[in-house]
Amino acid sequence: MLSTQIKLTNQSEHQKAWDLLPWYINRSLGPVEHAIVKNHIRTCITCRIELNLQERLFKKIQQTDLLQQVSHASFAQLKKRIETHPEVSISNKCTVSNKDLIFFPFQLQFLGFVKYTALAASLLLLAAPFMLNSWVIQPEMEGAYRTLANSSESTDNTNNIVRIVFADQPDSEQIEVIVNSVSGHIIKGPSPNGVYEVQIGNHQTDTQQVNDAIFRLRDHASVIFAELAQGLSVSE
Amino acid sequence: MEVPDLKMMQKPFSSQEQQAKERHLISEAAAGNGKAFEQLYQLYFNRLYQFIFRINRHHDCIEEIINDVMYVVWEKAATYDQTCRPSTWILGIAYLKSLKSAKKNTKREDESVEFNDELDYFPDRGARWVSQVEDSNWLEAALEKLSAEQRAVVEMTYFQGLHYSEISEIMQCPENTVKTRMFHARKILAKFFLELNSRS
Ligand SMILES: [Zn+2]
Repeated sequence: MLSTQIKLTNQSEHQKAWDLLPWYINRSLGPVEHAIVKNHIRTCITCRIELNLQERLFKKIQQTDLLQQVSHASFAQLKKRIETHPEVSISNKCTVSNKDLIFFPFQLQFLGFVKYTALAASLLLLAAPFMLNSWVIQPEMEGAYRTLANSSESTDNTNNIVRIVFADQPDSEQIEVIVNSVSGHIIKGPSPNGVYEVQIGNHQTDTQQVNDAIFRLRDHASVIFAELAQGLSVSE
Repeated sequence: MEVPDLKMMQKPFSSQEQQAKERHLISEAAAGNGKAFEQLYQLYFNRLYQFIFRINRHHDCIEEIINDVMYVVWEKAATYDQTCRPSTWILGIAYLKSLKSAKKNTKREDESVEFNDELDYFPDRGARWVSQVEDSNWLEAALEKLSAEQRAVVEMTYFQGLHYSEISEIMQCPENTVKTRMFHARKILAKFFLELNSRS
C-alpha cells in the first residue's frame, strides 16, 4: 500500500505534501497526514529542500526572544515617526513640534529616552495621583467636608499647591532643600507614583509668587515635573 | 548560545492535562469563581500577549486587548460548550480582537504617515540609520511584510504549534485558506531568511 503510494507520486501529492510541511515541522499532523509527508519527502527533492529551509526558519523563529522583537517593533514605530518629521532636527527636537509631545508642559532636554518612557507612564497617573485614597476616604468625610470653614479653606489651599515629581529619587534631605528653596512645605506624598504635593508659602501667597516657584522648580535638575495642583485634579 | 531543541519537541499548550485544567477553570469561572478566572488569566496572559503582538505589531494596546478578550471569556464562560479546545475558543476571540486593532492601526498609519516600506526597513538608502538589517531584526522586517492574516497563521503554526484545522476554526475560514496564507507567508519569510544567511 505504502509502496504504491510512493510510486504514484504526482503533482497533486507533491502539492499536498508541500502545503503540509509547516505542520509536519510543528508536529501537529495526525498519523495519516504525517505518513503522507514522510513518504513523499523520501522521493521529492524539492520538498526536502523546502523542508530543510522551513525547519531552519522554524528554529530561528523559535529562538527569537519576544521582548527583543517587541523592542524592535516599538523602535520601528518611533523611527517611522521621526522619519516622517525630518524637519525636526536633533538640535530643535526639544521644542516640542511633535503633536504627541505637546501633552508635556515642560522641557525635555535633560531626559533620555528611557527616562522619558518611564516618565510618560508615571505622568499618565499624575492627573489623579491621590485619587485612590481620596476616593476611599471621601464618602466618610463627606458630611464634615461640606462645612463652610472646611470648604473655604480647601479652595484657598489649592491655589498655592504644586505637584512635583523628582528625578532619580533624591533622598528626603535633598527634597527638603529643594522645597525650602521655594518657601514650600510638603503637605502630601509621595504618592505611589512618586508625586509630592507642596504648598508654596502660606494662604496669602499670590499667583505670581507661586508661578515663580514653579519656574524655579522646573529649572532644578532634580525636578522633572512641577505644576499647579489645581488644574490637574479637583478631587482634593 | 543555541537554545536546546527540547522546546520544539513538545507542544506545551495542547497537552490533555492542560486542556482538562483549562476546561475546569472555565466552568469554575462560569459559576462565578473569580480565583479560578484569575488563574486562567495568568495562564493565558503570556500566550495572548505573544499572539496579539505578532498579529497587530503594536505593543501599546496589547494589555487592553487581553483584557477585552478575557472579559468576553468571563462573561461568556457559561456558554462555552466544550466542543472545541479552550485555547481554540480563547484564541479565536483574541484573533478577532487583534485583527480589528491591527486594521485600525494600519488605517491610522496610512492616513497620518507617508512612508516607503522599503526605505523604512532597509534604511541604508535613508543614510541616517544603521546600514543593514541586523540579525535580530530580520524576522521583524519579514513579519512586517505579511498581512495580519498571514502573520496570524505563522504565529499559530510556528509559535503556538497548532494544526491547520484548529487554525481554520480560530480564524473561521476554510482549511485551504489557512494553507494558502501559510504558503505566501513562508515564501516571504524564506526570502528574508535566505537574504540574512547570504550576508553572514
Ligand atoms: Zn514534493
